[in-house]
Amino acid sequence: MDIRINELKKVITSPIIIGLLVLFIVFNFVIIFQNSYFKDDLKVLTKIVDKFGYKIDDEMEVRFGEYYDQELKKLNRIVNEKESKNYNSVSKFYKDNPYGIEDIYDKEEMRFIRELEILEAYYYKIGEIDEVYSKIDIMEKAEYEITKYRLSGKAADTVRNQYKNFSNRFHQLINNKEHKNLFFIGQVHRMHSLLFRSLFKAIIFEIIILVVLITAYLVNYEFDNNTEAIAYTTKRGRNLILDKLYIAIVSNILTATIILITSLGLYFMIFNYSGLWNVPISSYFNAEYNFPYMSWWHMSFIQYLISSIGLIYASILLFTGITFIIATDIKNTYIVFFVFAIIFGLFLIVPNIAPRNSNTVFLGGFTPFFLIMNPFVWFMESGAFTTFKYYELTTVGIWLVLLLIFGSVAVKKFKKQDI
Amino acid sequence: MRIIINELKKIFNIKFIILLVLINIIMYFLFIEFEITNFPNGRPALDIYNMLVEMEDSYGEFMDGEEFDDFKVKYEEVKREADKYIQSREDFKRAGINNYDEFASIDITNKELDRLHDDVFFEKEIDVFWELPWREEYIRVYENRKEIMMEKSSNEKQETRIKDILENDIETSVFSDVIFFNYNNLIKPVVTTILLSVMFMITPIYLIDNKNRINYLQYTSKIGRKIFKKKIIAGLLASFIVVTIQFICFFSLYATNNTFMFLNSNINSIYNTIISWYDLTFIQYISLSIIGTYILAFVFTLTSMLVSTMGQNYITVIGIQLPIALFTFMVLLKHLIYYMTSIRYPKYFLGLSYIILILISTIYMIIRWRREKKIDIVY
Repeated sequence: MDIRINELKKVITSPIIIGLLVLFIVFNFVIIFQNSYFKDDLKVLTKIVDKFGYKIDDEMEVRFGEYYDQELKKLNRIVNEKESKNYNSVSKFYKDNPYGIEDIYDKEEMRFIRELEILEAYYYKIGEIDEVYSKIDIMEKAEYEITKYRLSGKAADTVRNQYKNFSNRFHQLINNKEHKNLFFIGQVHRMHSLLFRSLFKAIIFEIIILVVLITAYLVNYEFDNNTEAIAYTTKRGRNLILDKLYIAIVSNILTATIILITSLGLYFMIFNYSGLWNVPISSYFNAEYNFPYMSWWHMSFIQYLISSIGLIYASILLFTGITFIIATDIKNTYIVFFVFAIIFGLFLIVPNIAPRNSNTVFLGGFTPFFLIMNPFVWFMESGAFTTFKYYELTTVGIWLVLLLIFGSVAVKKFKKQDI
Repeated sequence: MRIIINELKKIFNIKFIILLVLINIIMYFLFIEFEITNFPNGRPALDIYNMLVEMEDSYGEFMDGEEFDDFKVKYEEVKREADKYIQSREDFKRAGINNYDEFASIDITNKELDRLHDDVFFEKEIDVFWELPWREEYIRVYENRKEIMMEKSSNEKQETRIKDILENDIETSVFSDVIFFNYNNLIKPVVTTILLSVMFMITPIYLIDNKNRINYLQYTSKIGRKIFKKKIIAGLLASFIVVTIQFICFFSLYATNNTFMFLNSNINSIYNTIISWYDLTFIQYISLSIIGTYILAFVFTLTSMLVSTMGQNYITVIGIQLPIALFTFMVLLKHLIYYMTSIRYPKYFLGLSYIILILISTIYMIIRWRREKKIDIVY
């Protein structure tokens, strides 16, 4: 036990690891603050949800419509006083005032008009949901993906099959009315991208860098400090490598948790999600581009967030394992770092060589390296290579087994090798 | 000299060379290959490129008024070709389209007509139809070039510069952003790869000796602490070799993009996205970015050495280099290599930043050398 605590001390007292950790957290804060300028716009939705709830049904639509008309009347009252004009929408009003309205209206009125504009956007968006979803054809999307990546033969059939499965899910989603829920307008605010693409990707890469450094540092510590002759010469000493692995996992999880808690903590402090935690992630309002986000399962925002964080922790285990195996073989931390980077790159480029007409082309997608590239479409329809229902679980599962096997081989080899 | 050669041998040991090659291959396939194999990328780019080659062929480096008239004549010719094609097709006749003008103003909300439109563009990919809109665009831009150029200025100095260009008719240069954008998109990952390679090769230079306590032996030998200086020379030489080899590889790949006919074109063309402070030709611009890269590589060699003397183990070195590298690749290169000498920056911004970088790294190195002379070997 004592050995383990001492190993942990090596990590938490290392100025470099602490320094990098602080630097990464600052970097994440910059990402969040850079995008915080529209946080007031988001409050409009919080108000709407407070009044009507997030579920869109007939009753809610009627009540929301009445409320919108009422607010529009208020707007016309204000406008009438100053310009004696009438508008039937805020966008028309803005069109008539292209050079700003600062001179005519005071601050309070401007805020009201701005909020009503956002309210109006929600109002019109609710109206278009059915039309948008009636036009979505999942199989058409499959064909689009196939031509996009020039797939043919068996590979194309696999994509078609997967999308056929997804098509069932799509109909289920419509029956469940998962898409009919209010959320921040994706096309305007891109909150899903901000959180799961920009922030998550930054966090993941930071965590990987720390994982590789910490694991390689611990495993190779004795060799870097010329103490291997003392530490490993006895039979008991060789078992130290397992303690090191154990502490590497613990400290990697620890640093990852620090990064996640600080960054996500600040994110949710700045952007107010109250009332929206249980909105399905497949809501039409969450859609950012012409194809909405659609998850394989009925997941609420909070479930999606937790699953994603879980997946991050799972990949920490995988990357620790990969680094551990490299580090037991290569005794130089510097080279371990670059070898890891090279392996990372190879796993991203080599799949491109696979023939486009056989199923081998999909194998390259089932790696932790490929998995972490697009955190914003985890558990979702996500293109030809990753739209498999259990893609994330399979990848983690297969690699966990592989790494356990190779890891124990590496440990065995380590125990017998010459120092 | 013998020491320098031995130091070079240490830097270029076989393990590091293999890793370096692998790093370069991966960087190439991840970030560079696309712009090399896909140039010109897609349809309008290809048509613009072809048109530009033809322009260069018949007008040379600049297109003056007379040549512009000829350009318009050519436009009419191509248009007649399109007319002929349209008239040769029965389905166009049935749809009531008899010439290109009618085709261009087609109402694509009409399903029948939209199908014809798509057929010409995307199914059959008829060249002239892709070409014509761009010929029109180039004519429009040329005719309104004075106003379009002036619109690009946002302060007085930029305005004088643009007026200067207009006075000398440099804006009529036959050059386009299709070529320029491609080059800039390439040079950034190339410089990133180069700097990464330099960092990778140079960083262990002092560290290995410090770690193995070889420096104690070195200090007591006749050459003594001067070994520090020799290592600097060896490091600079090594990075010079690495950069040169990488540039040779890159430019032999870039040559396959076939842009050599534009090497003598001025980059301050109305069809280009950049307005430069100086009258640079494309080849001069390329040379400038090469010089810039060499300077950056040397600066990075020195900083890597400095980092190398600071850390006692590898993790420290990586930990310090990492933020430096990330900052350089994400922020610094954007301003120092991408769109060099653009009037978006103050006129002397580029020169000054390079001088500051050189000064900082050399001064630090001198300070470090002074300390090395006095440093106590008993820690």
